Amino acid sequence: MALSDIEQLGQVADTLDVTFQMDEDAFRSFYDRTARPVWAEPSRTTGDSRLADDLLQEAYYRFLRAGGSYSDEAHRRHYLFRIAVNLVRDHYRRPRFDRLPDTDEPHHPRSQSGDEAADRAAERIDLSRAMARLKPRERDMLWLAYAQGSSHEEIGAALGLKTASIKSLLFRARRRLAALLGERERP
Amino acid sequence: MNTTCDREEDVVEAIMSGQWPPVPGKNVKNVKNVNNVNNAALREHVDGCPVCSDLATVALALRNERDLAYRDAHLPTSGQVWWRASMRTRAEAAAMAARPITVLQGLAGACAAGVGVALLTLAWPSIEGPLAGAGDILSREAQRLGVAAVSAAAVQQALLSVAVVVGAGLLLTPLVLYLVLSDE
Repeated sequence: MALSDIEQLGQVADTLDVTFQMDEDAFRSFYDRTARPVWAEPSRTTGDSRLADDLLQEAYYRFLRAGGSYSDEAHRRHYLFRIAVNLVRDHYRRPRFDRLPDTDEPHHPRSQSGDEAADRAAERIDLSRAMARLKPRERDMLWLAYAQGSSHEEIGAALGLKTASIKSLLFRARRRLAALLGERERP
Repeated sequence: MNTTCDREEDVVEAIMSGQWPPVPGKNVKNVKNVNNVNNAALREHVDGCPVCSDLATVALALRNERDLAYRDAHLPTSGQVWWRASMRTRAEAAAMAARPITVLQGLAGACAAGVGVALLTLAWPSIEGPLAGAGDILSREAQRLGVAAVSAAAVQQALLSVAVVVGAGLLLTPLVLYLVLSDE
């Protein structure tokens, strides 16, 4: 086959309609509502904002290409979060929670005193280390429940768990994390 | 062991709405039930209830962590994400469209190599005679000139090597030209 044929095929591909499940305007609106939660979890888990950017891009790409039908906005969001959670799990089978937060960055408002800022930084390190000792599923559940404010139904949908089991699983995970945080507080 | 408490929802509401830890003298506005929850009473309950105490510790820590993560977020714009997704989709479509061509090109190359080997095998008897003759002539000529004592077999071997190199060049030249001139 001649070279020109291959070039022509490339040009044909360039002009192909990109078939996503929503148009650009709808996507922009959806993205603005969901991007922060999707980005925050991998960013916190990995401590690497560039990796979080990559995972965010990958999550939305897969979501757009999935072509699923959703009953409502909540269903659509659950599906996206499920993709994001699975991506984090796949790429970071052992999440690096032991990586300390970058304390050089100004994580605290300028109005905070030095002591307050130091306390907040210490709390973040404590939380990071305590989370590292939980199972991935426990971490995901706790983050969805108390950082993102997801309901039990939403958590079940995002993690592929039965809603009825969420309450007890959440209780156990919460108790473990509270105990770990309590250990840290004691000298 | 008690695993649930009726006041869990109030605690979560207070934390999620940023009203925890409660400020003395202020009530916690319960968003869901529209009722105001007595600040001091809720605080007292949390202090004495292990379920709500754990809940408050964990939920407050994660809520604060989320607030910091959101504040530090420098997200790509929706336009960037859309554009990259579109480009990637097109690139994958182009690769998919070109795949049969790549397979055909591979098959054509393999066929050409096979035909070349078959032709060489068929033509070998007619090549071997002239090669041997040429080897003898060159060997005799070299001995006559006193250059060196060269055997006819060695000359024949050298001629064979030259023939193989020329044949391989004829087969590979189009492929090399394609790879050099191709955009990819």
